[in-house]
Amino acid sequence: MASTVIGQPVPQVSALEKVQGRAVYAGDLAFPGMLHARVLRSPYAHARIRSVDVSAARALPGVKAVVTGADVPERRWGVAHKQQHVLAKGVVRFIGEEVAAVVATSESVANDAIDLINVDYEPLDALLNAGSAFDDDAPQVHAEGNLAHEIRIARGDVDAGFASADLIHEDVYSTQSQYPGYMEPMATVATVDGTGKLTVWTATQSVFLARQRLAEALDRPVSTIRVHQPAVGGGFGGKIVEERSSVIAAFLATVVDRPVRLGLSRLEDFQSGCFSVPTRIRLKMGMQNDGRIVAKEVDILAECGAYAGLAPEVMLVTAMRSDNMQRIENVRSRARLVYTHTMPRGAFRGFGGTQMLFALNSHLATMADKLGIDPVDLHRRNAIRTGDTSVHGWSIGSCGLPECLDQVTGAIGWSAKRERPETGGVLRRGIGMAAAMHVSGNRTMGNWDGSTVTLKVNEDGRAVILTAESDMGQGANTMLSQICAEELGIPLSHVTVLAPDTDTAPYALGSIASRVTVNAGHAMLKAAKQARDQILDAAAAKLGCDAADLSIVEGVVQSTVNDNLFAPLPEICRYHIFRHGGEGILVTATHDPRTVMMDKDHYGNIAPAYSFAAQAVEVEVDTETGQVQVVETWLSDDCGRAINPLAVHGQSNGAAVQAIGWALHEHLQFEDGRLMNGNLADYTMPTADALPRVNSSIVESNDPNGPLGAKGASETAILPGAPAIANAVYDAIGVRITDLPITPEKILAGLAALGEKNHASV
Amino acid sequence: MDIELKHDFAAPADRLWTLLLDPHAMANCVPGMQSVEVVSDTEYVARMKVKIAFISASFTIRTVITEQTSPDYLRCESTGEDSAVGSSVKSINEMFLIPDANGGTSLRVKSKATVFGRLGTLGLNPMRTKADRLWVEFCAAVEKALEDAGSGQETQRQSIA
Amino acid sequence: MRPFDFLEPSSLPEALSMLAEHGDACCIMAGGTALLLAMRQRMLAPETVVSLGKLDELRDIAFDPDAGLRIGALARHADVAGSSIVQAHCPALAGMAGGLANPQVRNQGTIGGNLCYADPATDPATFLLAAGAEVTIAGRGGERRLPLRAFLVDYFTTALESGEILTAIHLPPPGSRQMLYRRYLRTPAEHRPVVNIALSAVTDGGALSDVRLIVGAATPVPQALAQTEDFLAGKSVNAAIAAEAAALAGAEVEPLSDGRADAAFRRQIVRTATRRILLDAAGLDWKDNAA
Repeated sequence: MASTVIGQPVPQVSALEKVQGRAVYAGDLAFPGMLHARVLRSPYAHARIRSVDVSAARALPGVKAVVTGADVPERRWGVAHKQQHVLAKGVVRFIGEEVAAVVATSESVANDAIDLINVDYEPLDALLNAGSAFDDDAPQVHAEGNLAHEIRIARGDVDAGFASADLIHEDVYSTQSQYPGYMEPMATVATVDGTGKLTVWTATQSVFLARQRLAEALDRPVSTIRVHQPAVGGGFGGKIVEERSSVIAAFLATVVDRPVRLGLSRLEDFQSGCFSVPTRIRLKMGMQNDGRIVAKEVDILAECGAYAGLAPEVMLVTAMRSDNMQRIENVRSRARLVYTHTMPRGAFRGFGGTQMLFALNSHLATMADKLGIDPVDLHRRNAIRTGDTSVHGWSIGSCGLPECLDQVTGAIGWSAKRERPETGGVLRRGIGMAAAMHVSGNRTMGNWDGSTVTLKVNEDGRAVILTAESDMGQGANTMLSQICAEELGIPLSHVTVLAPDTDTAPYALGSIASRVTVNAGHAMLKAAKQARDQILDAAAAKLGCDAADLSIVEGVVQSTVNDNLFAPLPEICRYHIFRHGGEGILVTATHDPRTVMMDKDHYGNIAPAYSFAAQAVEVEVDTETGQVQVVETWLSDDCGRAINPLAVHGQSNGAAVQAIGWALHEHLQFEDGRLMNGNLADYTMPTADALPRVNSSIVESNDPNGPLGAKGASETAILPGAPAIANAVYDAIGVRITDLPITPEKILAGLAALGEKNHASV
Repeated sequence: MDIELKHDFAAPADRLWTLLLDPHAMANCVPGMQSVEVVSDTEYVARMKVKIAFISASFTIRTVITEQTSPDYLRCESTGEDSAVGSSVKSINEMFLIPDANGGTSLRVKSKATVFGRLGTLGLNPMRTKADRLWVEFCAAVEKALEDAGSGQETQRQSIA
Repeated sequence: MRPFDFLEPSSLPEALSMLAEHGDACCIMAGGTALLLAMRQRMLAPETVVSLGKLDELRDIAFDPDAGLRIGALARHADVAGSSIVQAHCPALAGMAGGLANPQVRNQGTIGGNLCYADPATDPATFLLAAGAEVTIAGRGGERRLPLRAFLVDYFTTALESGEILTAIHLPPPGSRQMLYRRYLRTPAEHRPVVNIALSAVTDGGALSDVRLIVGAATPVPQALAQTEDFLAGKSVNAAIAAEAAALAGAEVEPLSDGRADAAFRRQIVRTATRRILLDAAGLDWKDNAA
């Protein structure tokens, strides 16, 4: 029987409340006696704080507290590198770093008080350019030096590989930071209750990681803190554990012992925002004439800004993940992460994959050209396949990459467009493609990548799901509701997913590494099956038949052998309670995938499944204005199985747009470490009128380890966009842009250089 | 923000130099300057009003001359505070007076200005262009001051003769 | 945002007397698209905001065969774009108003507020200068009327005195004039033009006369390309003439240079814009005619 829920294009369970403006975000919360906080930020990239005079701010009527670095706990917080305090202590390391905070009766008073704080800074030389981090006279960002992290990975015999190559190509690529651009700027409300417990409502992708960090930053036991996740307006990686405002808000609540709200304006969110890691990537690759990759060497310089955060983990992905997309044996990577006196950079949708896949796909297109091979064939020839174990030990349970390539090239008319004669003229068209892979889950935060779901079936037969896996807009709650409804045989509208709460929900890692569908989906499936078994056992007892002959169909427990034997689900659920020894239906199930942690050589099957994507685009380049317009885009995502195709298309299309923004439009401009365009008028994210129709399609490779065959969707889809566009630009005008973003100025300069070269060769 | 400005004056370098170092003459030439207080030969405090559209900032700017070689080079540092828009400005400025072949002087200003506070975070694009426009106004005013002084000298000379 | 008094006069005289009463401590609000941004960032903290929102008489759009188009200063960009009167008598103006900024701004911002703000990175001024527009300004002493060219003094600076309100924009009857308008965005994701260009000319048997060629957004205030206009007078446009005019325009424009685009880039776009608008006016295809 075809499912009425699984695989159906179901609108998000939160869609109606969101479009009606009734979803409650952290910034919407208000409590009696709530106070308002504002933050003072450093205007210097690097300075010693000589003194802070807060007397005038404290004296302002309505001000309840003014705190500085001197008032915050000594303990430092961080991911692997413990480096940060709640507020800067003694030294500021980037423009925008939080130096002091005010709590007052209104935002307006708090703003006035901020203006009255007088900080005496001693400006110091700043390291603003990652490329200078190792210079002899480079200012040191931290006492231990400017190298935050270094990774070296080597497999096979790279030198022999290059020696056997017919073609060797080497180039340098660079990628810029991207602002996550979520609809909801960071907001937090925190309060301390009569027992001393600190409760925090914040925009987060993981309440338990948020709680862990708060415990560290505020130096208090984990169990004295409770974190709630209200509705979240997008995260894209920026709301994992690197943003800082929730930590400040929680600390302020402990200072004033009253509810405190800290909502950032868009401009402040830009000042404090967690941007993606910029990289410079040197890539050298050897191929045989048939296109087979025989050696690959990578050297990466990545910049984490003032504090490491998650950037070391991000860089590890840049350094090795895309190696697993292809059947290669000889690879060597060196990656160095450096500090600079700029804002911290870290997790971003794709988690380091976008950077390397820009380089890799650009490189493959160039080498395909040199070998006279269609780049699609080149990808196909090297693609990893179902059943393979990759060079880094990843077991590929399913790989729909060839099908993704088929779908996007078929849709865009790849072969016909490749054959088109050159037309000349002012406007030139070109096509390009790229391929990508990503993990679904990642055993990286300790030896557990599990997920636990608690399911309650009420006495009316409706279900409540308790989990701390986060829905930040991507659709986790809808996915869980669909699986639950399907297994229990009840309508989707009879399922509720409770908002994550560390005090009531089972421990969870949250929405990172595309792990929720693949892991929480499994836990949901198990929990629902358990509840279903309990229901059927109770029904069997009540109806006097064998549980194996019963099923639940549209809210009715029905015998499969005797049509007259049935009972409405609510009746069974009540019976489950109202009998001697009865109880309400409450089950908990955990799924921990059979993956391993990487060993010290970064080897091991870290994820239960791996997802793939491909994208083909057509661009039109205006050779007089340098403007690049994406005129057609097709993206195909191998998500294993689309539990909700509508959600997968939404994620694919959103990812494609974010990739177009990164490739062409979004460019953070820094001058002396200062962000010059930190607003949405000057930092131009593409809006609807900047885009063509965005098309996506789905490949269902049915992963053996995925719940119902499903893998993660969304992060993979952001990966191929930028290189597909760069390749299409090259196809259109013969200019290879290796440093993102692809600006009109670079296009015009490239055309001019090409003109001179052609002129010279005549 | 780095600003480089240039203007050619018909006057010789020493006359331009004298004018540029006369704080009261400058008060008439610098657009928006409300008053100037001479602290010493090398230190001034000026009050300036700058308006961009409907936003106006009132800066109290302290300028210290840190190096000078008459009549061709001057370096000064300025710091300014404004309370209306919660901003401050620091700048290091260099002025080069280069005589040209026709007896005139080319004035070149190199300035490195840092804007802190709200003005600094709001995108400096308008301020950059505003600086260019103020320079045009300033140069016109200096030219006029040089002319006025010049015609005054002429008259004086005639009357002596 | 700091607290402020919000006044909503119901007639122009009442508005003028409120402005007189509150002087420099108050701000006039039309659509408020720029004003509220500045207030929210606390760049501006007026004690009083005088909203013109209830002065419906300032929203009227009318046409008179002798006087031409009269557009109330409070007409929103979307009103101008959608007006059947504008569409009938100056379709290029409707096109300009319907394509500027983004839908939010078009539905909220007014043509008068736009001119008074005098931000160069927008469209109306360039077009209206080419159309030979004049403006009416009301003050306590009565009305005055002046050419738009005189109204636009400089970068973010107009001839509007304290206590005055811009009430109307006048476009002379088009007669046999042909008007074209184009805007160029640096990338498709921008909402503000990096260059815009307006061409107004009488086409007499193919030859151009009374040519007005205005470039905006690239310059602190829209600039009339006088040498290019002179060059074009009496000429019939073909590919060679358009290319020559483009080179002239690129040479005479005095572009601004900032974080959004440097002078060299803006100059290149001015060249392109000039060539294309001239070929469009002549009914020729610029796509085949790379300069």
